[in-house]
Amino acid sequence: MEKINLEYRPTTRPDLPFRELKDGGVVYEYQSGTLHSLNTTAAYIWTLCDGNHTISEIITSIQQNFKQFETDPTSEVIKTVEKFQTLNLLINN
Amino acid sequence: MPLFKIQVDSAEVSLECSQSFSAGIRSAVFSAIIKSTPQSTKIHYRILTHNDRLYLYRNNRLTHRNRQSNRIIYALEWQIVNDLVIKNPTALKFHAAALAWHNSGLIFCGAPSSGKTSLSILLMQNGWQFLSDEFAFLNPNQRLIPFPRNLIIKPHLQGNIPIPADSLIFRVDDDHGAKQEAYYLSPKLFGTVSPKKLIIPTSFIFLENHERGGFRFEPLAHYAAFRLLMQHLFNPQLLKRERLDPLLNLLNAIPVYSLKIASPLNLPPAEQQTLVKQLIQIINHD
Repeated sequence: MEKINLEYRPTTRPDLPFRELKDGGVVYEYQSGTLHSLNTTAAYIWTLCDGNHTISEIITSIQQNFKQFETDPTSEVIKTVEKFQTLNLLINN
Repeated sequence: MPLFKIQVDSAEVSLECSQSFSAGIRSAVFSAIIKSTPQSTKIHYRILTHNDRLYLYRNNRLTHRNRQSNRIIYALEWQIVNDLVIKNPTALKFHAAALAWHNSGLIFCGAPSSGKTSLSILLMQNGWQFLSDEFAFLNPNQRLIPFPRNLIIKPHLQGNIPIPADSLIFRVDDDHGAKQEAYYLSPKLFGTVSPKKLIIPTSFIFLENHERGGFRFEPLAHYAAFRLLMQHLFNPQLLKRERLDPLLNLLNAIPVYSLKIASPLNLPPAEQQTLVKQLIQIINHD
């Protein structure tokens, strides 16, 4: 499993369709028939896991776009990406 | 022998039984929609009596025999439910009650004993149309298919509802798998049943037990509602891309709520009226 540091560029598996909800989203694993529902922040992080954004850039983007994070969202972002990894939703770079 | 038909959307079954047995059948098996018919359908049930025993046949194949009529009716009811479910293969099936107000529907998802039946009764008593109490069906166009099976009146409700003297008693599973006595009552005892047409759902409401009495609505995040909805869906294998997208579109287009409530029928009358009014506001998107 890829170690998560601030320079890591997570990439979601291209075979997993993401469907947006008003306040979050759903990731569908067709092969296993598993659905993952993501809250607003997790859905936003998911869209930035495109291989182009580093963890550091995702954190900055969250800080700019989500007012509810009065404190540093670093741990929240890392925890969410780790969860994506654990669920095998990311490509192993 | 009298011949009856039960139809849900395009699925139908017919049923033939002796005159003496027909009253029991009519009051306990899909009473709201069972009708006399001149001819049998592809799925055909027959109940015959021989030497004090009852024999239940499905398409001429014996499926059950028993001396007790309520046991046979219980088996018949479940087989018909199963047939109607299988014959609607494209419908998403939720463990939920569904009711309509002026052709707009609400879907109430909830665990067993969360208040689906008592809420259904309360709303019917206030002029709402009954669609279903146990299984809510959504067709591929996201329309609710009425599935007006009889209401199952479990022991915790029996003190709140007048039970007709001639009602049959059935032994059904409780939440922990133990047996409990229940009545199958026609929804028509409490109000009207939606006619055979399809209904547009306007909100999902997730019932939760409220220890403190009273009731409380809370708006739910759509991602959380989706997660809960999956817990109440019987056939998630249907959610391939062509069904998932329309369901998510529906979810995005309507408000979703949790309703914390102890027992709707135990609320004081004024609170019951407030509850009904608030549900109408939700339907009307006020």
